[in-house]
Amino acid sequence: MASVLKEQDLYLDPSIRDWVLIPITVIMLLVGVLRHYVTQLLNSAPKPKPAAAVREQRLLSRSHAIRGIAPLSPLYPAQFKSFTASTSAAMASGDYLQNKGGEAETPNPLDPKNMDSMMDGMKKQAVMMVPNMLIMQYINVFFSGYILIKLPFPLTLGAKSLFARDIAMPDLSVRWVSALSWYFLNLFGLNGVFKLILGDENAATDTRDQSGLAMLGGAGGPMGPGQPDMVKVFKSEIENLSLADGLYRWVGDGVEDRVLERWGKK
Amino acid sequence: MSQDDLQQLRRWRTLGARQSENVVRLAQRVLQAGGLGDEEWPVREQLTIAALDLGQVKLANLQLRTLQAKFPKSPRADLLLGLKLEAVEEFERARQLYQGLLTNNECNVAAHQRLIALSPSTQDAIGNLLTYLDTFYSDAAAWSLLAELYASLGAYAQSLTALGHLLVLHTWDSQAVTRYAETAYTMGDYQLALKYFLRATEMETPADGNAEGFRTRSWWGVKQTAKRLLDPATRTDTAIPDDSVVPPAKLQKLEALATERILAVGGANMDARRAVLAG
Repeated sequence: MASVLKEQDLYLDPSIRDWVLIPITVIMLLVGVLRHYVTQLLNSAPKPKPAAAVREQRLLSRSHAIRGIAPLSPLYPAQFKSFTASTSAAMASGDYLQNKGGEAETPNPLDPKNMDSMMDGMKKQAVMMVPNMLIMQYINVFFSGYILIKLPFPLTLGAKSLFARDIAMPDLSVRWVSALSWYFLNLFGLNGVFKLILGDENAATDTRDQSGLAMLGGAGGPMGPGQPDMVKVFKSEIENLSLADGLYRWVGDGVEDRVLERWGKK
Repeated sequence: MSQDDLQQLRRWRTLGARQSENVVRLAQRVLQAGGLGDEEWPVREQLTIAALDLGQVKLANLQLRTLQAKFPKSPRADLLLGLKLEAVEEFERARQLYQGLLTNNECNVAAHQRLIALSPSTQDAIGNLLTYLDTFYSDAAAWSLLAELYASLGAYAQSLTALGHLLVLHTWDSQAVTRYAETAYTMGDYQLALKYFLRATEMETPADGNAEGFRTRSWWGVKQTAKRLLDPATRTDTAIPDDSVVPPAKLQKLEALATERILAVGGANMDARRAVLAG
C-alpha cells in the first residue's frame, strides 16, 4: 500500500531551473512588454468620422433619449408629441442618412478606406500571433521534454495533457510540469503581471480580447462591411418611438396630489 | 501634499469646474514639484485655460509653448492657441483657427463650441447653436444656452422647447425643472408652471418627506403661481390637457403648504419674509 502512495521522487538538476525555467518566464515577460510597445507603434490614430455619419448616429441616440424616459417623462403631453413627431419625421425623411442616395450604394469591400481598417486589425493580430508561434517553436526545439517544476498540490489525471504535454510518460505524476506546458501556463497566467507593469489597458494581455477588438474596429469603421442598413434601423426606431407613445406618462400628472400627500395635507 | 493637490486638480478637470484662481495656484505648485509623468500635460492644459480665464496671458503663453513643443500637431493644443487669441481679443484670427480645425475634423466639438461663442449677434448664435445641436443632440449645456438666448429675445415658447430637450438629457436636474417652470410662468401659462414648480419641489424632497429642504426657490414659485391662479382676473389658458389642471381647492392647499415650507426653513429676516408672503 505504502509503495503505491509513495511520492514519485525525481531530482531535478538545478541548472534546469537556471537555464530553462527562469529563461522561459523572462522571455515570456519581455515579449509581452515588447508586444505592448510594438502594438502602440502600429496603432494609427483613429480617422475622424465625417459629420454626416455622426449626425446619422446621433439622431438615433436622440430618439433613444426621448423614448427611454417616456414612462416618466418630464415633457408635458403636447411637447412630448411634438418631440416624437419631429424625431420620427427626421428619421423618415432620409435627410439624416449618410448616403442620401439610399440603397443605390452598396459598400464595396475592397474600398481602400475599408482596407485601411482591415489592415490595422491584421497588423495587430500578426503582432500577437508571430511571436507566440516563434516562442513555441523555440521552446519545442530547445526545451522539449524537460520537466521543470513540481506543483505543490495533487491533481487529477485529466490535467495531465495540460501539464505534461510533451512528455510521453503515462505513469508520471500529473504534478510534474513540462517545458511546453510551462510556456502555456505563462502565456495565460502572466496577464496579471502585465497589468501590474503596463497598466490596465495594455496590449500584451489576452489574445482573444485583442482579436475581438480588432474585429469590432473593422466592423465599426466608417462604412465598413457589415455596417447595418441605416434605412432599416431608422424604420424600426420609428416603430419603437411610436410604441413609446403607449408607455408615455407625464411626470406632472397628479404631481399636486403627490406633493400634498408627502407633506400630509391631503 | 502634492498628491492631494493633484487629486483636486483631477477632480476639477473631470467636473469641468471653473475654479480658475485655485487651479492657477495649485497647478503651478504641482508643476514645480515635478514628477507628474504623463499627467503633466493635462495639468498644463488645465493651467493654460485657467490662466486665460484670469487674463494672465503670459503664464498661459508659457504653458502653451511647452504643450505645442510636445504635441506639435495636436488639435487640442491648437484649440488652446485659439483660446489665447480670444483672450487677447484677436477674434478674427481665432475664428480662422477654429474653422481650420473644423476642416481637418468636422466633428471637433470644442471648435464648434468656440465658434458659437464667437457669434457676432444673438441671432447668429441661435442659428449656429441650432446647426450644432442638430448633430450633437446630447450637449445639454448647449440646449441650456439656447434656451437662455431665446428667452433674452422674448421667445419663451422656443425657450421652453429648448428646456424640454435639456430635461430629456438631464432628467435629474431639479434646477432645470425650476427654470422650465419660471419660463412657463413668464410666458403666462400658470398651470404648466405650477406643475413644474411642484415637480421640482418633489425632486428636491427626500422620499420620506421628513428631512428639511433648504431649497425654497421652487416653493416660492409654487406660492406665486398658486396665488396667480386663485386670482380670478388671471387668464387661465394652458397647454396642458384639461384633466390634469389643478382645481382651486387644491390650489389653496398648495399655497398654504408653500407658505409653510418657506417659513419652515428658518433663517434670518423672518419678518420680511412673512411680509412678502402675506402681500
